[in-house]
Amino acid sequence: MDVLAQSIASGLLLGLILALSAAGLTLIWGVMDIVNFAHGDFLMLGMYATFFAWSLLGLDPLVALPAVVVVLGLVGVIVYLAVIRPVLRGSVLAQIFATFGLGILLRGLAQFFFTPQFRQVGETISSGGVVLGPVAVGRPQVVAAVGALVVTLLLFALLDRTTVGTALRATAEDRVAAELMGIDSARMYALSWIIGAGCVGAAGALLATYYPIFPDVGAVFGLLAFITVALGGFGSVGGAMLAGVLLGVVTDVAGVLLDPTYKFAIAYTLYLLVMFVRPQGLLGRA
Amino acid sequence: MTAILEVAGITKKFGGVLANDDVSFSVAEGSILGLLGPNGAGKTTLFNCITGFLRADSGRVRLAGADVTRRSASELARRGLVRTFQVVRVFPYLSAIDNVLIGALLRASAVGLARRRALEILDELGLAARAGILARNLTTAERKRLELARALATEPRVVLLDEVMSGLTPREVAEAVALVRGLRDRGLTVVLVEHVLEVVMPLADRVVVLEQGRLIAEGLPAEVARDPKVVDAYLGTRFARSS
Amino acid sequence: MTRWLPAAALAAALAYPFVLGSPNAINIGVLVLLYAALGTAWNILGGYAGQVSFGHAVFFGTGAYTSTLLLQHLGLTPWIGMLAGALVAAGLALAVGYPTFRLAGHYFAIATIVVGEIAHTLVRSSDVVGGARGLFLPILPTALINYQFQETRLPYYFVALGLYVVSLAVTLLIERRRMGYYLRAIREDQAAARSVGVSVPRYKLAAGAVSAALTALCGTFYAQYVLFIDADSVFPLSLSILIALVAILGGAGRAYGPFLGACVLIPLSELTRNQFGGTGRGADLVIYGALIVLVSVAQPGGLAAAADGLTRRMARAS
Repeated sequence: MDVLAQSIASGLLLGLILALSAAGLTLIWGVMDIVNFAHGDFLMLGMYATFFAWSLLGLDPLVALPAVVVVLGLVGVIVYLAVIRPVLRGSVLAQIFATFGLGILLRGLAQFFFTPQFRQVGETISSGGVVLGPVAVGRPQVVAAVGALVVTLLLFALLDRTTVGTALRATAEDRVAAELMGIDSARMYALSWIIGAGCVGAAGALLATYYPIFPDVGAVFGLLAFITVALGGFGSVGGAMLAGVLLGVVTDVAGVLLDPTYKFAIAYTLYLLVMFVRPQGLLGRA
Repeated sequence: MTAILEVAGITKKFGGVLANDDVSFSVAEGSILGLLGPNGAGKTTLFNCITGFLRADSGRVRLAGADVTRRSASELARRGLVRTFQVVRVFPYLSAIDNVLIGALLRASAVGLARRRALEILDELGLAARAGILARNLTTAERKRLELARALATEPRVVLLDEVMSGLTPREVAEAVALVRGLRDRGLTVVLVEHVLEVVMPLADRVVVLEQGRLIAEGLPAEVARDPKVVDAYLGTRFARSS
Repeated sequence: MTRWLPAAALAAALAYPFVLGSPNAINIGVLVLLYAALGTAWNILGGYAGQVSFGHAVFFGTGAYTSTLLLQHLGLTPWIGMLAGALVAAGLALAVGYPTFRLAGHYFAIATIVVGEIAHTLVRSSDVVGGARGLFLPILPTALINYQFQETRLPYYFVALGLYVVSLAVTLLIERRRMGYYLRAIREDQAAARSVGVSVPRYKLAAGAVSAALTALCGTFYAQYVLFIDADSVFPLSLSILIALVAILGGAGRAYGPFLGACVLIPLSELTRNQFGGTGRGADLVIYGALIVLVSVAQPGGLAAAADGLTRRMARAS
């Protein structure tokens, strides 16, 4: 029983980070109808940025987080200008192809410059453990999850409460109508990449406090982020949160109850089942 | 005259909104029916329910005497009921001739025959010179005509046209009106959803008027135009003056 | 110009192993043709019908495992095993496609990734099919019936060429018929296709089954060529992606596109892997990734579209 409670707790904590990276993905997807297949690799970049801030500059990941967000935001806007804008007029295939290629390129660059070696951030201010009744979890996991929750809620507030957020949502809803209202859609596109990449950068910084860092780390997390988005409902940040937590718990519980080999397969099966019954996702509109 | 299309008690809800509320009407074979109503009256929803693109919550549709409720759109096309779309839907990266050819394949036994039929129809609709051009590179009016050509290529008995005239210049509207008359003269039945009332009233044999999902009037154009309910709900004073 | 091009390409393909006869050159030739065949098979579903699959490794693996298991347990010649694998893969495509084809656009693409990953996991952890250890094929004497050629790899080259020609022939056959037009209609606009009587689910399933069967043929070939298969070599996501990339780079929805894509992508990836891959520093990935980004930005229609433009310009100039 303790094992089960334990896995639910750790799944929940991972799920919140998943939700944050998915929120970044769903923003771009919603605003531009483009799926960034390099999203997991953005997460990888965020983790490396955090690692080097720690190992070279001695910055604690939590201190470095705002800087990592800024760096990833920059990566986002550069990618938008250099890769995405030119393929906007192309077919969906060309768009998929471009972001897939970008992912391979980023992974290759990481291998080239950082080597395939596994890295780990050492002692940080959040190191330690937390015991809550039957559940013992690492303090970094708790801190990271709380941090992810805070950033996701900030994103929520940004989209819901500010003029920029309203403009972003309007562009997602109906680009042509938004343009008629004087909203510059090209600027909204760029902004969605800055914010989307910034979110996944924050997720990377938080994850880096306890998760090993290597060039391919984005592969599984990227796929889980897509599934989180689709499961939650296209363009819905609330749905992404729900789905992220659900996926985190399901994978960890399945890993304990069945076999760790199957943990992701179970999450994927859950995705398929939900899609077949509710193609629009859990919180998506029909 | 026998009714070729009968719609009985169509009801469709989206969430809490009643888009179509117990709508019934019928269309006589070889006639033109105008379907009118202000924006948001549920005309396109009704179109979608009749043509198999949406599933009505309740109600029945009969085509040439056979119950076709809940049949798929492709099945209805095979039975002779085709539609065009409010926002024109051509196959953008295919040539005009291939667009129409795909429609003609419904009845043709081979691609060669379909191609010949498609050329004839393009010629009839004055698009022969544009046959080799990608549909996305045609003008709006041409794309609307191409969509109609593709629908006609399926050799339908009933065509449902969703706002074929909107967005056209007056000259193009006049051409489109002649085209629709030509369809009826060839024995086709036409259901016309339209905003340009001055065009529909003289063109339609009968009209039905939807308002907030309900059918509020049905009859000859002149009768309906005088119906106070209709004048109130939709036509306002503008049409009353011009008639 | 375009009329003699296919004939010239075929002649070049037939002459290639005799002109460049080194084992390495033949190996690259085999891989190019194998991926050309795979990309062409993918193209039927992904390029013509517009249903982008990132799960085609499932069908490749199904072909490889079906013929290998039939050979190991029943001693059945891989030629028949190859056809059996194609049938199993087609059946699988129908079963998986029935629910997944209802998903639109990106949701479908992600579902195919997910299906591929599930299959990968299941095969890797099922001891009945060798589990993580994989399967070694029995080494048999060189004979056509055995589908094994030990002394020289040359026959494999011609089998691969045959596979490509079969894929291409099926594509050309479909392209010019009702099915080809209907698939393109589905790619362009599903609602419009339905409105003129196209039975969208039926044609998607047909395209999926044909595409899967052709992909499975290649899987059997791979097993016979390498004589060892495991989940990580015939079911991985990276293989699914490479198959799609070959087709997209060459020009999705064009019959000859995937061949062009394979001619560029495969030698390049082999070359960079040989030149830089040994260092484990990922320089091959950098070049490969950069090339993909560059092509999609500079020529979104793929190489075939670029070649078309070139031919037209040359025709005008002459």
